[in-house]
Amino acid sequence: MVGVNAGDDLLTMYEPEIRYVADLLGVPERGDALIAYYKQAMDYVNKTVSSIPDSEKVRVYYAEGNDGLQTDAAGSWHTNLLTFCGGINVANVAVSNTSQAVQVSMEQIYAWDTADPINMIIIGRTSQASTYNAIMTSSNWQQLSCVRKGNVVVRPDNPTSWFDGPPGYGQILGMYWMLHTLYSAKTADMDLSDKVKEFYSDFLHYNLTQGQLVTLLSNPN
Amino acid sequence: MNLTVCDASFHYDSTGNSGFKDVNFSLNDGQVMTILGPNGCGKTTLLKCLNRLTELHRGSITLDDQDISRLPRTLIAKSIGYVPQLHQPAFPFSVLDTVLVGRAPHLGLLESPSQQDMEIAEQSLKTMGIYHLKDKSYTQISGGERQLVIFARVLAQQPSLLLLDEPTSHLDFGNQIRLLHEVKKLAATGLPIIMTSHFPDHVFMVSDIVAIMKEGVFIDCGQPDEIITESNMQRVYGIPVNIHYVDGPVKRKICIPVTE
Amino acid sequence: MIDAEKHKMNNKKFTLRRFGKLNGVSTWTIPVVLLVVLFIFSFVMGRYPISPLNVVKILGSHILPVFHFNSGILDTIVMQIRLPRILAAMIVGASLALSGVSFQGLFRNPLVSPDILGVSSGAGFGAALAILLSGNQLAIQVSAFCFALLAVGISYSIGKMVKGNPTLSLILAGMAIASLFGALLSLVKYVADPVNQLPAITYWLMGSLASVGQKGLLYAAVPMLIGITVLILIRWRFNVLAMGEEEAKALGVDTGRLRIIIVVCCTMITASAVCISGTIGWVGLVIPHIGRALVGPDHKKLLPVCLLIGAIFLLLIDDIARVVASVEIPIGILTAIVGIPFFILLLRKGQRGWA
Repeated sequence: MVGVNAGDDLLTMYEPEIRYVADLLGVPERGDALIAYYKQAMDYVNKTVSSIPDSEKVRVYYAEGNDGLQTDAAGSWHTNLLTFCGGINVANVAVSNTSQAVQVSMEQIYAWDTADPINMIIIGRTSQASTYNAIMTSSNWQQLSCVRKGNVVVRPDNPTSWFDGPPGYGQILGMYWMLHTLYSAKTADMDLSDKVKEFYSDFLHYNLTQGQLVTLLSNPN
Repeated sequence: MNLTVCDASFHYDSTGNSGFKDVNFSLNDGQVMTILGPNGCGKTTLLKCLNRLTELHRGSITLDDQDISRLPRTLIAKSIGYVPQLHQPAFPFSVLDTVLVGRAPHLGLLESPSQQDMEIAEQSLKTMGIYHLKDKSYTQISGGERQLVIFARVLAQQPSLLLLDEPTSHLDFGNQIRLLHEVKKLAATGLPIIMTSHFPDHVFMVSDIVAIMKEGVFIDCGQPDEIITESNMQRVYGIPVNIHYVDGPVKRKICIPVTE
Repeated sequence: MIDAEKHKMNNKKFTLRRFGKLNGVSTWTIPVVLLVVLFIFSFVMGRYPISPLNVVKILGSHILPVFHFNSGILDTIVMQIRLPRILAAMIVGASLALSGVSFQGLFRNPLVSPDILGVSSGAGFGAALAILLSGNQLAIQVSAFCFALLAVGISYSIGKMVKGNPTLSLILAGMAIASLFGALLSLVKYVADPVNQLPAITYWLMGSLASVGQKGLLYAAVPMLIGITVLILIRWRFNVLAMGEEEAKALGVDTGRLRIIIVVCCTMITASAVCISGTIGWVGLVIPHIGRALVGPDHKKLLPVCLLIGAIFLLLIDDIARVVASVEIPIGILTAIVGIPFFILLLRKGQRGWA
């Protein structure tokens, strides 16, 4: 297994967690099935990421808060899924406590963008719809090329966050989603919709309809 | 100008003390009237009703035949000047700024003192003989000087009637006498003055009319020489006194307490 | 009675302290020039490097359509990010300082801050509530503004119901309501989601001008400018009020009406300021003292001076907040760090500003 960087300890923790709960509930076969899905996802991500050279890695700004001006510092465990899937968190801020969100200014974002263009913005945490609208419609953000190109993605949070806030088993599905979002060209051999349906039926015993699937995977309007 | 008080009465709701009842008197230009009486007899309350700081409950107070309860406050303030017992400064304004405040009744809400107001204020300072203090801070001058500043302020109002609440309290002996001197001078310019006092001797010194007040009622009112008698003083203050006329440079009556 | 010679000497010392003319140039020009210089200088400061020449070109291209400046990013940063923020810092600083000095004059107490009637506590609760209910930026601002007004309204009503000295009643009622909203705020914090909402609430309470946009500033500026204008116009009346309730009445002042006008104006400007910047402390308390040390207690001079110094102070602090590190430092923290030692210094120098 190719470890990308430190901080994906949480991701590797899911196997023993699932094993524990399965044993507790007395359904070891189900545990096996879930772990199989999980391991499949991990392997797929690791394989794909190892084939991406550093120069092509996608630079992401993780926008939080009502105005999108809060973020988590690079190296924080809040964005470990991002780094695991081969993305780069542009927020190079020196803070002692990376588990706390930090406040940045619009200027700082532009400074990062000018030094090395930001390719994508992922929106997380509270009032995502209004944050999305704020970023897409505000003239302040328009000077970022990724915003003009529409590379702004809202992190899916159903039933539990696929990305962060708080990090949980949703990240197992999130791995497929994150990889597909960052490197859609390289994940042509994976059908994300299938993976989502599979996750919902395996982990949640729920059959997603096509309409629900579409809603889950699209940005708010 | 004439002030007439007719059947005036006032009482505080809670205690019923320090009010007054059925007060009648009249005052004209150039007259000095003293209301003499012990603490709590209602003289300060009466004074505050004279410029409508407090509203009368019964009776009327008229200024040149106009009932003051119907006059706008600014007009009352332009006509009646009031010097309280004690002025507590919150900020160390300069003497000139303090006196300038006296021009307030003549200025609108959005106005501030003009050059003319400045001149009136400075003239008031000169009248009280403290012009040289004008840039000093109010808190840096002595008690006697402060009282003069407040006097100058009330003069800057250019009132037609002065109300002084125990103007000599908080002053040393010398300053008390000097202040009374100023009162006499102001009255000589035609300004009617009403003051409250504890001291019969002060009444003899400056007053044309004295009203002796006890428990809210005027027990006597008239000229000092006739009203301040040994029996009246005994009635009001409960102490025996001797009243003598002193000749020579003094030429007035004095009131001496009799001690054992 | 008076030692004329001694007083003449003391006079000289006192007048030098006052604003007057120095070498024929009015000393009022000092704070005005300082503000203008700082204003221009602030455009050059920021995390994004822009040369002073470019700043001048960009500003010039908006004032005179002669110059044409190409770069979209630089123009956006200067005009849409820095300009609103600089203007906001100036107007919020001026508002808080003016509100502070006005309340100190109204309540005849130099230790009074703009929050005496609970305006910041109300605003803090309103903002926290909006964040709790996952409101957007606009909802937070509107909620903060409304609850700020509500808090003062309640304080004022209670103050009027109590008999006795009206200013004392108002202060006591204000303290009670401020505590009430403080308690409600604690409740909101307790209930809030500690991962998402609580940091947002905490951050708002520490104050920041980072999210000020052009629209927000425009809406908030209207009540601020109205309130500032009214207070400046009636500034001499504060001298009369300072004489005391009874003496002011004896001078013909309708103290009840004046009190309402002052409370409404101060509340309007503080509530507007707080709703775009979060709670910023110490400005309203410290700047009036600096003002008094410079020009004395005459409100005719004091209010305009506080306006200028408040603007200069907060602009300077905000420049530091947005430049010193890659993360934003909440401005309320900086004003406390600067304001508190300053205040202690003022206290030690003796009772300069008050009797």
